[in-house]
Amino acid sequence: MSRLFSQKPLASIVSAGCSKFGKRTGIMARELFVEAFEEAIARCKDPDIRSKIKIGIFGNFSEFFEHQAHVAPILADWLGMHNLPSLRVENACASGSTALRTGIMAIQSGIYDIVLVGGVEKMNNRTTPEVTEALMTASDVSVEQWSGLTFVGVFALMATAHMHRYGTTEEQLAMVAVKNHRNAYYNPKAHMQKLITLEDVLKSRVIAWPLKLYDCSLVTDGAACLILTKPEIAEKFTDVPIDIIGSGHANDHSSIVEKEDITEIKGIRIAAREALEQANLTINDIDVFELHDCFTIAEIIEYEELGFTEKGKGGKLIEKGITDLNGEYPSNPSGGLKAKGHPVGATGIAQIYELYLQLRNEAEQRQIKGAKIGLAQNMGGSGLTHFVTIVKARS
Amino acid sequence: MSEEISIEEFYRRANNGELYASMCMNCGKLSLPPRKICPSCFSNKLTWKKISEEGEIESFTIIHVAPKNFGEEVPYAVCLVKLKDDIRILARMKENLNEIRIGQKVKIVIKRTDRKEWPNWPLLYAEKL
Repeated sequence: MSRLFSQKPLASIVSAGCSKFGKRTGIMARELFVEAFEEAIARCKDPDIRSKIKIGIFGNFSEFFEHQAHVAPILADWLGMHNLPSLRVENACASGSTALRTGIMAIQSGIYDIVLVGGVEKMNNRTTPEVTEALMTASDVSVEQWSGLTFVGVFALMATAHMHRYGTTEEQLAMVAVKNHRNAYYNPKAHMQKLITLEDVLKSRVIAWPLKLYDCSLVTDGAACLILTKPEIAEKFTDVPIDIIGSGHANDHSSIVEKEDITEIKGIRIAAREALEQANLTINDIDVFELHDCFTIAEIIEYEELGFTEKGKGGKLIEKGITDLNGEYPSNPSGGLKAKGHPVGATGIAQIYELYLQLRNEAEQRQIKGAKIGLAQNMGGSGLTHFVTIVKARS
Repeated sequence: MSEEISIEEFYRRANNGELYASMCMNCGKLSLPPRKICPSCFSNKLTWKKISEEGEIESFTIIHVAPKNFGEEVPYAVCLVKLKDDIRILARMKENLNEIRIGQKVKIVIKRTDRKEWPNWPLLYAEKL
């Protein structure tokens, strides 16, 4: 998509919806998705938008949770659109962004002018060991899984090396969790609206040292969706379109064994460069960030990869409050995966939903004042798949 | 032993107590897990190269919540080991977890499993040298 650079947006978001995140007992994935979709319909200026959507593209990680594959046509059917062509995409925790990127391509191709993209995961039907097992399938079976490494474990290897080389501390990791919980406190859709202290994090039980329970994102049920159109027709459906002005996508080696430097997550840098070049912006032009804080160490490394600070100084950055709501690089105003929650397939879309609210000045107590441009960074697997998306409020 | 380069063959050879990596016959790049296409020069002419079992710990984690195959063995460490041939491998450590340090010299020890279902690959352990 880098070759398609122009000042014209790649696509426009004309409506968005997000379910309440949490342990949603007694509701299935398709029903969670209906909850998100109804909000998107209600927000849309055209009450007949449903009949105009041409395709549905859905991110969903694992058929294990509900013993349900072939999810896309079921979601479409449950939205009342059983004839809608639809497809499911999967890139682990980046499945949502994969759906978004595919939707952008569908519009850029000229084949479709109105596209529904979304993501959903219903994880809490299963026990914690079962969820651990399912998430682990996103790491490389031939080396990572077979070594007894869990998904948390892969990020713990990065954390140990980062701490050893740069002096990053467990307290600095914990500060990421404290900050994101503080932001989620103001997000009524967050899984956990609960303030936590540094001590809570440090005293929580060890999952994969140096990472503890409160360093980990939540096992969450949730769904989110966006309605995209070609930029030229967006204003028929909303008074405030949010334009997608950059979309970057990159991969890295399959397992941590072959990564050049395990204190880095290089794919983020590559995807961010692509998105920023398309948008013709630098990182300092961005007003608000939604980052993939699957584990606290990930957010620290992301600060470095996105250029908030130099390599190795991410830990120092969190200490200075630069990524707080009123800081220079406000990150995860939604509460992030850490506290808003991480329904795997929905996460990439839910990040954009938060930016949609922020850029429309609808984020209430967690609103970043005057935010005009937002960036979302979403990662799949153990640093394997990367997306960076830049959105801007149309003035 | 088969000359065919595959992940299964890597583990078959490990079952015989030896570690082999794939080596590109064009540029010499070593890969673990072994590959059919060289990730450096894209050559498909690769061969097996016996590698040293010795190396040092580049990073580690102590797993307290394990997947089901390993659940009864917690806590254990998983170490990212840089072998002498400048190639990495993951190996577990079960003893003296408090003494593990980055930079520590270790040796990879291979243990067969009696699992019936796939994958029944041997397990790799790191032992202090």
